[in-house]
Amino acid sequence: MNPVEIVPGIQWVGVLDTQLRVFDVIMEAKHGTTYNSYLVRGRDKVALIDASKAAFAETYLETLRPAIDPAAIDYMVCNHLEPDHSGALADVLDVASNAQVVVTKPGRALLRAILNRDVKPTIAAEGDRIDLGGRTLRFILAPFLHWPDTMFTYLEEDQILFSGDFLGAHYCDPRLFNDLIPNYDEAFHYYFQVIMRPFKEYVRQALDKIASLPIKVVCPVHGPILRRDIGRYIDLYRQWSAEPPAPKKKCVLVFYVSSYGNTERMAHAIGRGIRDAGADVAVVDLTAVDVRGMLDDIEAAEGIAVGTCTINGDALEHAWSLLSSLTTIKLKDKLGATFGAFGWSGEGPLMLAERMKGLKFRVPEEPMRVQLVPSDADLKACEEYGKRLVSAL
Amino acid sequence: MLNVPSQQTRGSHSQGASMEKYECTMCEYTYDPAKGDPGRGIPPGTSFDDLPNNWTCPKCNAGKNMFTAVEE
Repeated sequence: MNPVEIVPGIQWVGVLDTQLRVFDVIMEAKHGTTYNSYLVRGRDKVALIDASKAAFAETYLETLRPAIDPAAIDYMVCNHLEPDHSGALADVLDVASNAQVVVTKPGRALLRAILNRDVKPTIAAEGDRIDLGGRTLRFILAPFLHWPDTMFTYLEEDQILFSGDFLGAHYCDPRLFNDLIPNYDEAFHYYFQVIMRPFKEYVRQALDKIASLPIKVVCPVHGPILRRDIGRYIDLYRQWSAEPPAPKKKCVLVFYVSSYGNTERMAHAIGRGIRDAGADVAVVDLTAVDVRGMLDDIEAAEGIAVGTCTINGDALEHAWSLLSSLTTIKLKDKLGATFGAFGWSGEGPLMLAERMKGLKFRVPEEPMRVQLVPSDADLKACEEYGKRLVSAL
Repeated sequence: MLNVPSQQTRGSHSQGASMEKYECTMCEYTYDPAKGDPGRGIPPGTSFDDLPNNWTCPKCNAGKNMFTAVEE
């Protein structure tokens, strides 16, 4: 695409990825995405803010060249070094031979690992400024949004916030500006859920940092540029990053997958024990729910117990799938427990327990396992197990 | 003779164990041997070198190799 003017002297010089449907292997991108890059001209100096993905290096340089001779770029600002914005960096630096790379301190190590060449970047610290002549870039550190090296770049005179992935979305529309395109709230929310949600605390810190800044335009690296209703998008981030109110009662969720009903009976007995010990509980059949819709509940619960039977020496896929769906929520120190009935070997719950430890769950109890049909004594033991889980909360 | 460091020079509490601080290059968490990482069973007085190889940054989980010595 051709460069697009945002205001005189500031251009979008990014790439449209209309065909993309899955981003980073893990994320849906029903509407494609864009890799936004921005060229900022001052009276004396020129800065390029963020680049593009390696696969689009050539397309990107084709868009950039009509806007500027790359050799005339003085600063290459990298707000974060994730490869979808830094993959083309080596190609850019080959032609932008006079450009000084600007990154944060953690960015320095990442830059070296991306370029595998000796680059001496300028390190941007909180509040540092670069004067381009009549235009001043100010750097605002925003660690873990969503990479450790993340910063925002604020253009003081024009009141434009170059926000990296923050306030972005996987949404591709060549009209670029949010006031020219249909409502894309769904993509905006999904992007938050997958990318920003694991870092809610840092989202809140960043929102506080930018609260007092006048902002006329937000230029993220994916999706539409915001120049209308900016406050609404920021308010949505406030709302989504807020900590849910602490529930009055403690809660443990019991998930299970059961082929002959034995693990299911254990699940209900553990659930009774949890309830008898005074905590809230929900017992959930993993074959009957979409766990992606339960992430808020899991995050709010003090603990989860996962039950599986063992088939051919492994836990069932539903249980693995549950544990693979939790990367966007905070698990550290959440109580984890596993259980299950089995025919003769019973490795399933043991393997799940190891996986939960790897995910930083606290797993104080050994897995509760029963061979085949739980007897009354086994069910009683399951109830006691549920009670012990509550006392370990 | 094999050049193996003796127990006396390797023990975490032994004389001469480095009390040098190390900083995570990703999140700037500082590991201070005087404090250790008691939350994960690392007692005070454990030098950075003596941390287990699978020890990770308590703040961001970056590996031990992402740390650099703090110049003081």
